[in-house]
Amino acid sequence: MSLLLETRGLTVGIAGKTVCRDLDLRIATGQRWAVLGPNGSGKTTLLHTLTGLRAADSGEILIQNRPRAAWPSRELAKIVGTLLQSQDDPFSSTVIETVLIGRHPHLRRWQWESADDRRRAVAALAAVDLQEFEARMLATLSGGERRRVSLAAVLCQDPLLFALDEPTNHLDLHHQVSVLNLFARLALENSRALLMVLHDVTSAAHYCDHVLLVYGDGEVQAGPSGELLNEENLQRLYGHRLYRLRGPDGVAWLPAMTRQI
Amino acid sequence: MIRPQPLLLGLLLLSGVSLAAALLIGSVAVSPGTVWTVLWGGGDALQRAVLLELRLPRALSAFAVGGLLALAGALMQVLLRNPLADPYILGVSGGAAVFTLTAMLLGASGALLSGAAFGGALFTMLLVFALARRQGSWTPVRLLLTGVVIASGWAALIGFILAVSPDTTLRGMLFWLMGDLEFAARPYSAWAVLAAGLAVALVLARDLNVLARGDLQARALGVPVGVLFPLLYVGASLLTAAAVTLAGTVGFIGLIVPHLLRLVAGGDHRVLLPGAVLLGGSLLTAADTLARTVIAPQQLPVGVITALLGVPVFLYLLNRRGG
Repeated sequence: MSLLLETRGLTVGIAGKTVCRDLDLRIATGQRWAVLGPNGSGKTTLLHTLTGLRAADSGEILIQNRPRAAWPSRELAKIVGTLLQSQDDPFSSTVIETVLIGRHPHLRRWQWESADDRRRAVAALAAVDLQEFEARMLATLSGGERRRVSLAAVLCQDPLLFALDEPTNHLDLHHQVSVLNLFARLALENSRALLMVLHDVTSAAHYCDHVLLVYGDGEVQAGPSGELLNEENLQRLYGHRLYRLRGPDGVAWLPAMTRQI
Repeated sequence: MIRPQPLLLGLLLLSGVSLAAALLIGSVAVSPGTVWTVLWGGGDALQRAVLLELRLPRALSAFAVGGLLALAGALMQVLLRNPLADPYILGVSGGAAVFTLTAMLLGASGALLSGAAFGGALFTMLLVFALARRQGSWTPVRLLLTGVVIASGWAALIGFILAVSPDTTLRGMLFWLMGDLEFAARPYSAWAVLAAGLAVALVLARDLNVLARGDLQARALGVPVGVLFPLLYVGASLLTAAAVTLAGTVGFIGLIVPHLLRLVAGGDHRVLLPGAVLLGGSLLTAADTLARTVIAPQQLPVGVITALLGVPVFLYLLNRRGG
């Protein structure tokens, strides 16, 4: 296990609101982190700050023990791969072109994608169940299929830390499970790390060994999911009652279906 | 989808054919053999005058303007992430038009008009840049809105100038506004701008592929968006300024050529950008040859031809591919 991302006294705010205050976080290879919190609590803002898409208010962010700002942006993109929450594509392009975009940080300025890059792109598409979609135009795909193209692009980028903002958006249940399995296994078996914003607590409990609870008032709790995922924390996090159930595959968190606090 | 190599080779061939046609076709019949002789320093005085002083500079001007506009359009579309963007959308041509028409109204001609056009284009570029940047960072949407509003302002001023101009200058003004190559005799600076612009654009081509997916996505993949945005804006504006200075506001090429290429060859800017220069240049050269021959001796503004030919071709391709 080696340390990939570390924060020291990180304070992040957006639009006059504090997302986190003095956060100390250590993400090492093999770890899977889920970021949980209600709408508007700043999960995406925090993810973007950690991956370098926006600046922190104060505090330090270290990637592989080196200050984030000291990394050349392309070198950083080989280590941190970010999946954005949503993606719109005004220009038409093919699926394979879109996935190959992920190779950008690995290629020198005048270098074209090699046969190996293409093999990686095809393999990434196969991993998200999009075999033989290479030549399809992006615009002809469904929302869930396009989401999986974006996931394939991050796979193709081949980073050490996958930072995924709601990776299961638009996916059907089968593909939600297979995508989360895929990334969790990559983190566990290939010494990568996974940091993902999720809305499904059961998935967080099942696939992640750590959680970041973003309460939205500046308080953030970070730690092992076994300790932090309890009824009291989750009720406070969502302002909603969640029941802890025993399912055939482990713990399941079921929200109370009638309106109650 | 056409592969890159056959596409670019085909476009090179098309460029050669369009330039050759521009030299051969016209009121004075010239044989291919004569063109060859004249280009290598032979031929009689009349042939030399027609080819070297009239047709060749005009063909080269048309090609350069077409290439500049197509390249500027392709860059502007990525910058604004809007497939409907054209080189004129941010008001660069409007500023050039207001300055040029004012100069025409004051009786200027020749190099003074070119100077006015370039000055107006540059002035607009800086104005929009400054206004769009006022609150720190600028977004494509903010830039687009600022530019579109400035362009509307220029359009109003153009209307005003046309309304107060005497009939004798109106015709020249209208030709300039529709795009006209009749007085485009010195294409050399436009070629220099085109060559420099294409060279820079090719260096950045793969970054543009990433930027087409959004500035946040581009930054996540290590593209220095903060440098790339102003560079694209200034680059596309200068290309447009060079084109407008030479030929007025030739419409359609800058919007349609990048689209045509996206439809037939995909969205890779490493192919799209050189392809746009070749196709834009060829199309405008061919259109200008038509413009000066189709109802000869009367000449048409070339912008009329580009639109008349471009609209059906584009609609055909769009429908064939089902959008």
